[in-house]
Amino acid sequence: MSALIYLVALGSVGWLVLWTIRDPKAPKWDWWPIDWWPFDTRAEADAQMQGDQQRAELTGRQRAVPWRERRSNSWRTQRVVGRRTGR
Amino acid sequence: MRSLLLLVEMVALLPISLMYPFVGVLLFDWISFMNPQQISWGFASSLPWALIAFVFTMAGWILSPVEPKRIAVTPLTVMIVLFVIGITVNLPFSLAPAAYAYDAWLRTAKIFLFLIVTASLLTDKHRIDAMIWLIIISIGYYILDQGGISVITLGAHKAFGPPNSQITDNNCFAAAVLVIVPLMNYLRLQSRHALIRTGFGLAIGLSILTVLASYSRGALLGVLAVGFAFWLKSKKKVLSLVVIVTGLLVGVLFMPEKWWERMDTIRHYQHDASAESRLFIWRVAWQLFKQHPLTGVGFHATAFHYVIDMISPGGNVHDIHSIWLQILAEQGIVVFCIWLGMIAAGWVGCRRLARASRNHPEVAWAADLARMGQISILAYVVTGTFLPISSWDVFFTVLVTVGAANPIVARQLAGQATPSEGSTWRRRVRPMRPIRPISGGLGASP
Repeated sequence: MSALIYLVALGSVGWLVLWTIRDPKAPKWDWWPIDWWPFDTRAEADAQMQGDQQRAELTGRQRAVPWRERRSNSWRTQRVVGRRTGR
Repeated sequence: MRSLLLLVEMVALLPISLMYPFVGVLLFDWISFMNPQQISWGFASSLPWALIAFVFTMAGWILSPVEPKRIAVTPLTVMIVLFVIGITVNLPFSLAPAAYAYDAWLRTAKIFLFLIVTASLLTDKHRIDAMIWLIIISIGYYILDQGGISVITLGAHKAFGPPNSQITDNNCFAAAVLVIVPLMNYLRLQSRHALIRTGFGLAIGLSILTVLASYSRGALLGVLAVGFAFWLKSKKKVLSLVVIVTGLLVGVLFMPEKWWERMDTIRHYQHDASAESRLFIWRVAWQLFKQHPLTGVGFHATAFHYVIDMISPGGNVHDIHSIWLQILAEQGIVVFCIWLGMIAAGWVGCRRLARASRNHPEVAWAADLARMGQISILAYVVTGTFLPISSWDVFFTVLVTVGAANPIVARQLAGQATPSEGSTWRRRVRPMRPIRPISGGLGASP
């Protein structure tokens, strides 16, 4: 059990470091497969939604894409965003 | 195997700290708080990971074109610098053997000087949260490990902290757990995910069980003090009272008969060898302070018989089990006042943060952080009264982390960007260009 917890601790630190340096909106993070970060906070989620809203207004979208649907580079997001923007 | 995993992790993450020095801060603190190399039992255990992380961090900080190079000047960081100067001035007056005194001084000076680097790079909320997560992962490993074993053995296992650290001892480990429980609650309040919030609820329960499983009587008093402080700071008084009382009752009822016997000795402390030795070393510490009021006798000098013999010939050697008497006897009145000033600066920083964030829902996170920071400080001073953890790195990192929130909140309320928002990777986010309408076809004018 101790070895498993050790592995989890090591993995958590690695994941935390990625969370610290990542930029969810930068295209260079499109390769990251899991768009779920245990470290995310409510304040960030609110700010992100607010930012999306502004971006959506800029791009003429109907509304911001909720975070659940914001899986960068996935076929699903492309379909969802494509359907909304008509592109 | 663990050695190999640690090596892979560090080799993967250290280069990142050259680009993002805050990652180096996280790695240095992880090595210091969790001591993962000490439990890797292989070639990695003998490598100087903290030194390597320090070199990478400093190189990254110096070379980084975007990180602010300004040293954070706050009452707390000024006190930290004065503390390092104070212990350096006291070093030649230490009664411990020179090499031993030098090692202890170097270890303490490194911890406190790195706090200045930490304070300077804690430039936004994201980093504050990352630091708190790191503290919880580091100590949380031992809570899961030791607390887990205690649950399996129905409380028979005595919980201990990271090997070769300031909190190895069961009493000190229990104090450490109590200090980080409020931080867990802060992240629970802030987390975006229901799964994580539930996880933290369970983790807090396991932490209390781990504290009880340390069989530390001082920690039992600490649990009561922290529980009371939680209730005092909670917004829903009735609900919190029910949760805290139920949690504590479940915890103590879970513990076996020998735990109750141990706790029962609080009432008859005059006949308990452990309590007697503690009272003895307190008396010795006070006499040593009176003999060396300005410079003290040096870090851990009471671990040597000839120092104890100066006061009480033939007495047993001990660390001074009280943060107050420890710093007073070991470093003298001047450093004691500076050390007290650090804690006071941390407390005042929390109060300022709470005041600044009041009536501002956009910085509600800071109000939570301030409340939980105050409970952490309370946990430290209550449990520390019976323990030798006067220069425990995690606690002072908590002070620095909470203190760093003040300028961030002030900037946020003033509508300014944080230095890292304006200067690090976040700067590279460009606003999306408006999509040109395509309905007009190729011949449409732009």
